Amino acid sequence: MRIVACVKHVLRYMSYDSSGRRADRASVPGTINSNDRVAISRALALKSSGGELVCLSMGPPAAEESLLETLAMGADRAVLLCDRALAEADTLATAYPLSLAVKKIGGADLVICGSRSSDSDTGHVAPQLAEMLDLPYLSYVTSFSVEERVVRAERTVDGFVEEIEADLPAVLSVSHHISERDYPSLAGINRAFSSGSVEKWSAADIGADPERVGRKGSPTWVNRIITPEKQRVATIIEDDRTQETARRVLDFLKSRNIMIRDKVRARRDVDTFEL
Amino acid sequence: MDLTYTAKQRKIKETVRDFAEAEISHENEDGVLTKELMAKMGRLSLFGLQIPEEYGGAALDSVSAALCVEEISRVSASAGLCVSVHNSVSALPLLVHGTDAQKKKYLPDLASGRTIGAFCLTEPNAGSDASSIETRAVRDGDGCFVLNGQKAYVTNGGIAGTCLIFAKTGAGAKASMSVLIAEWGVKGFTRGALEDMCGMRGNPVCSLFFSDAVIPEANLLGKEGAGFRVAMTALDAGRIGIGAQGVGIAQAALDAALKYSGERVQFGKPLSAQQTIQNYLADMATNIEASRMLVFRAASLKDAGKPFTKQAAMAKYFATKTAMEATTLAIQVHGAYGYSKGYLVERYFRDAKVTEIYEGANEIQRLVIARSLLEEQGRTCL
Repeated sequence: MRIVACVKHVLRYMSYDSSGRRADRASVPGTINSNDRVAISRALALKSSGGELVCLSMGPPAAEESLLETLAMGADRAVLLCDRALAEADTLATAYPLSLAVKKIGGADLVICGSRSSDSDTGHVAPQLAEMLDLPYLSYVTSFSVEERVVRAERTVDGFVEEIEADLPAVLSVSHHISERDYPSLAGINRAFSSGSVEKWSAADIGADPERVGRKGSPTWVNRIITPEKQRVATIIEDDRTQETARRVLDFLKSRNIMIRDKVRARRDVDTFEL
Repeated sequence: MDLTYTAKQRKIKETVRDFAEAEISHENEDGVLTKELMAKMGRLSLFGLQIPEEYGGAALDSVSAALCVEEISRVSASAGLCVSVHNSVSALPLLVHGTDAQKKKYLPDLASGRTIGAFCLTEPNAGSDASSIETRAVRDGDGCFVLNGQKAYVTNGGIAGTCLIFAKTGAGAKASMSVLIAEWGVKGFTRGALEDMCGMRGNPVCSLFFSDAVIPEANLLGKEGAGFRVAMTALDAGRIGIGAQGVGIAQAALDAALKYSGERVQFGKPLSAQQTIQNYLADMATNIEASRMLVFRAASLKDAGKPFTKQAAMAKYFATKTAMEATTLAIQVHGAYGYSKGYLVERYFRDAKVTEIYEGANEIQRLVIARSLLEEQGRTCL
């Protein structure tokens, strides 16, 4: 069983360069998109009963770091599509080279993607990839299992749970609700960053049509980015004179990290008294 | 000269930071180490930082190991202390001075965190004057030592399974210091109640007592009589860890002060827009960065196989002094709120104090630095 997990190298927090249109990759460190971490964790869990995990990314040279981290987590191979010709791609021009890379890898029994990226947040790539590979697509999967070449999945959408299944090979997208975060061990990082290697493929290596990649192959592009001003929104908690009101205020303060400890230790050595 | 992190070191720092922020609870008032947390830390390889892979460790360089201690300490100084002491003064001496059999026996369990290590030098009557210890180990003529004495303020004491015990061996004028590996569970080895400390309350610090405890001669670490040297070289490495811990605590204090000063409005503007507070923030940040550079300088020298005693002492001295100053300033920025237990800076302040005391009080660090200076005098050191 070969699993391909698609990985996007995103910035740890969003910041734009002087053009106002492009992410400021020079000064902000990058990391693995959080939903893709879930994809990798699930793929690793599946691989533990045998198989191969290939992590695939398209991105700038810095994306190599995220792929090395996938090796640290336990991936068998890591492939980076890295070429100026692929730059400034929209989601269609991203899914196309990824689909070619999956074919060059030798195909996959299961392609797992994060449902959306933390930066552009479109959720387009996984379904487009499924279409280009002509495979069934299971979206927003919250849990799944594979048995006898059938993937059975649960997806939670709009408050109801749907159970679906598909024959392998298939593409599925997962979101961060699916599992807790796995961390690469420090031993794994040391090994991957000392002796691990990421295969780097160009547009030509995967036989991409130059008309279908990069800016040229992108029917959409970002015109400008506006950061909306933050508005303060009031939350009104009606006081029903019970402890529940106090508890809700406390929970709110804790959820915003405004108040960290809920048990302020009372002083026991001094008591109040009246003269 | 390159004073930037490598990609690997950056990834290690990022991973440990994310882990600490997500997995170590802020709810926990004193940063108490729990079994569950220890297991997660073990899976990350935090207990085998510099232990070779063949024993199940992460085989990290000293700079990376310092980064791990810094990032854990930034969230929980008590957990950072556990990691630093376990790795640098418990596992490393075993790695450096241990026989093959000792390494095979102890390092895999230490690397995974199945066993926690402790370094037991301090006694009720022997602190900075380490050579005045009174714990004695006498050969029983049957292949064992009989150990008697008390070790005080042992970090990790309440959970440690592999303890390095410094004891006097030999008689009369020939008495010298040796190290014995004592395993928890040995008859005659007991623990005192957990100490009620001002800070680092999450770490189970206690006394260890030995009453006719029988330790096999095979558990002698290094040569008999070489204990003082083992202690001093272990502490050289330990000081890099405690320096890193100071950096982490100070960074936590600065982060808290930055956040609070941006939120608190007085005289019609946030504290962070007022020059006095800006001066505090700038002082904290500058000293923290200087501390970090001293820690990495000492760690780089260690990795390069060069002498680093002086630099490790400087790093420990300056970084822990900075931790105390930065946590004091952080409380000052918070005002009365910072002095209350509702805010974490109060804990940072209590945690910081002991870093100036343990693993060689800062007065001893200055003694080490001055001694090195006087020895180097007249020599060109490049």
